Amino acid sequence: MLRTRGFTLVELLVVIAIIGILVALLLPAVQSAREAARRVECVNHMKQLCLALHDHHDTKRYLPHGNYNYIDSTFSTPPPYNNTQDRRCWMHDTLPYLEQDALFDRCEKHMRTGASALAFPESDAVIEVLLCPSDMHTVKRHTFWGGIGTPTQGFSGNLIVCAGDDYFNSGGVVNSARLNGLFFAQSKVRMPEITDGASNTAMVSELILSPDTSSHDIRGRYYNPAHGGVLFSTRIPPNTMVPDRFNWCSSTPVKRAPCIWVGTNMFVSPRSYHKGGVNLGMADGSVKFLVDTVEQNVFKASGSRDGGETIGDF
Amino acid sequence: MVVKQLAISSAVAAARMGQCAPWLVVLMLFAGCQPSGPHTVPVSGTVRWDGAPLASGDILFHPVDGGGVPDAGKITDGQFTVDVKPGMKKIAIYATRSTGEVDPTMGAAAQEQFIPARYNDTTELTQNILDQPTSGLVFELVP
Repeated sequence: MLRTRGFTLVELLVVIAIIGILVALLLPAVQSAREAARRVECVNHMKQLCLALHDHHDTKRYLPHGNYNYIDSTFSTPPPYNNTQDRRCWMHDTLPYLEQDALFDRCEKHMRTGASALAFPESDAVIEVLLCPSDMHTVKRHTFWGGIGTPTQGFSGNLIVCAGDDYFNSGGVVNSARLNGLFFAQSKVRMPEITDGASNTAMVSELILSPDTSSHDIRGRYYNPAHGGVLFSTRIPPNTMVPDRFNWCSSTPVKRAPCIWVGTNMFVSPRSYHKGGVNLGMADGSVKFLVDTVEQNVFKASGSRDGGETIGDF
Repeated sequence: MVVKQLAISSAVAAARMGQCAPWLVVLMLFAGCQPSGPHTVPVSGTVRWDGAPLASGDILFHPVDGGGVPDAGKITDGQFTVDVKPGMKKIAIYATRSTGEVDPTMGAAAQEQFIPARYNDTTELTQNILDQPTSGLVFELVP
């Protein structure tokens, strides 16, 4: 029998099939490597924000106010500000420590006139370090309508800070000044007050931005933070489909950022597009990856600065 | 990743032996496995408001003792499908509509909840969710 040299059709097909399978195995790995890179950038940004908040503490001896307004109260601020510094939040006070001195100086000058932060003409300036590139809606500068003579309500970012382990304004807006986290209405938390331990207490996390389509979604909006959209609560584990309770959130938010429009018992949960969890910066400046399947009581305990809970590992 | 690397290396080895297919299929079944959350069952049904399907809203299944994490999902054209942890549940249903009054600061009308509190924040709706897929739940809400 004559046998020619070369490959049979079956051999070629087997080789092609094997190459195909190997490529199919590899491609998802490349995609997840890209997401891993975005997540690392997010961790880096969060770490820088943690350091900036510590810098603020080193300079002023306290962490910045979470909010200048009571949560869900607008155009009025309690003493000592007496209705000035409307809609100012921790972000503005942290600017000098994020090497944004020029922006801070102009913002401070604007605020000294008694105006609202909402009307700051440069509110659409992007602060790179407050972004998480895994979010496809970041950078968000477009808003439904600016109000008060400005074309936009400014820049929204992904990084938010911890108000406590429960609702923001349970029993009335005044209670938003008595939360058990690190940042709330006119908070001035000092490190020694974190008796649960700085490494056990949540400081910074992230949220998913919703585009403004038919109305506003002001979660993450640093120049309109009066409703608590730049804060989070640890009452529900991250990336939950349990809707946030919030005032002024879009009626058609992205599916992964559900929200009920209410003004009572408000809260915002941390969310991200990272697979299986969110990044969480602790009060000692460390950044961890918090998985969605974390025990509820463990995550809740991390939100309070002086709850006295024994915190599990996560 | 370990599973995938295992899959690649055993694929190469098996290809040498010329009998890769069965092993590879078995290994690929395990690729991407990771710890899952709590046990849930799919629950679907209909929400009607004042006789008509509720156009859009949110439905939450709270543990009846008030503790723990609720399970939640969207209502679209009166229909919902939510993965729920089995057990006795209190059900809360929310929906909003425009107030029609444009807020001068925002340039848009605010929304308001129009479902009475007896169906959400102080709900009287309860349902026992059995440990099996459930469909055909109907919630008739009246003003």
